[in-house]
Amino acid sequence: MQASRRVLVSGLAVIGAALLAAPRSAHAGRTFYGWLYGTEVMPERGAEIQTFVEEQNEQSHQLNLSETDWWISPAIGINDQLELLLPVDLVWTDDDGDRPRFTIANYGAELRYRLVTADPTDKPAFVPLVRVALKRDVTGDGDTWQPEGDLVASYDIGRTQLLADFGVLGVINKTTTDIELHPGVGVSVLSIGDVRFGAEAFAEIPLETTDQTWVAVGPNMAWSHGRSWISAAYGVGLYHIRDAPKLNWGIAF
Amino acid sequence: MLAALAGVAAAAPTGRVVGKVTITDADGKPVDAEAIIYVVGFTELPTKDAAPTQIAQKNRAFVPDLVAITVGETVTFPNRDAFLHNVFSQSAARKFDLGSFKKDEQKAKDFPDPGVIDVYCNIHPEMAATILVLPNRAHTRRNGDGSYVIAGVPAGTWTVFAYTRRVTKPVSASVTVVAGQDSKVDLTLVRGAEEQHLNKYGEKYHDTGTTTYH
Repeated sequence: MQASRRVLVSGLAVIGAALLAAPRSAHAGRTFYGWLYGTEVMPERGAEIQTFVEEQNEQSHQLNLSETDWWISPAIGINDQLELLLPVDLVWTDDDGDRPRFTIANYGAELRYRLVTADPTDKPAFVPLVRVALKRDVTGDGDTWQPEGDLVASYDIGRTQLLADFGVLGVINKTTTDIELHPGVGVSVLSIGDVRFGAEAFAEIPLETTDQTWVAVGPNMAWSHGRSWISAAYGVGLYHIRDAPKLNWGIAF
Repeated sequence: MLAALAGVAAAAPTGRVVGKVTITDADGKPVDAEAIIYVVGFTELPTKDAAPTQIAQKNRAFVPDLVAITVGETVTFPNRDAFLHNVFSQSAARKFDLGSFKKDEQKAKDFPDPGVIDVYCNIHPEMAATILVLPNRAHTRRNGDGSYVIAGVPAGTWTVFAYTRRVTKPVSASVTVVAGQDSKVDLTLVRGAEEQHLNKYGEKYHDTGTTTYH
């Protein structure tokens, strides 16, 4: 595990060094954060592929459960403030004592609505965004649905952006309803060219069982270059988790 | 307060700036092209309730490809072609991206700050236009014979500019406007080649050939 962490950290360092040498691009990234949703959306009829890989390593509450998600989705600009995504989520899990498995976890549809204009000149400093999603969970043994929602708000002060993201996730089937809260806060500073550095804190809080709560905090970075963008965070576990790295990227076409 | 200032400006004694603008290529041969003539040195509010200036997208071109507006005015961009167009600008004075829109749809953009705004289509690299966002209403378009008249210019000493797309260097002259009189200024512009520009992602355009995007 220590070796894999060193590889990840050194990988991020190499990416960061490469980004510092890259030419400046005039386009902003989709999100400046790793675990937090951003408030940027595409212009009307824009199209983009977005994806992320996230790890939740050694959640201490469940016999050192480790989980890696790969999420991928097309994103379509319905208008200048609303975009539609059709994500598929694949999950690799490793529970001590069980065989690791890799499977499709869910698929569905997602809407992100930015409540104010995205015009670079006219946009206000305070930008709220609402995200709603409904996904079909295919890992269960019955009709299981996964509704999700986020209220995201960012505030720009010069080169610095502050952001808060309050998310709710439900897993609903015929017999049970599980609710999980996903609160997070972050800061991102435009540093060199289109490279941003910052920090964020993120938590997953199931309401039914407090011992499955985890909290991580750590640095983040983001970079956009022409039609491509990436963002990443390395969450160091503060509670019930060892670490939680996440890498997002997207490419418009 | 602003209304009062506008009223003062309207009541101030004014004169006209008149003359002729000649456009040539680098070899000195006359070129038939659009040109804007404008006076700077004072500020005015835009004309109240004026209809928005329009730049249409027709036959894979912006029509017209050069307009002048006063700070605070709006430009509309209707698509008159049967396929999708995009309108974007990476000019420092006004960056924007209007997305893609189809035939008979139009989008609008306001321009709150002065500057020279180069506008392109992200789908069709041959499409280019320029918007001059000026601090006052003292601007006009060159007539077919090269002449121009700018009326309602406040008395005083100002600078008059002439601009055409692809101009190789700015051309200007000082002008003293006397109330009730014409002040004559002739200017010559030299027009160069169209500069290559990048798409909205900062990349070179791919060869689009004759492909259309419905």
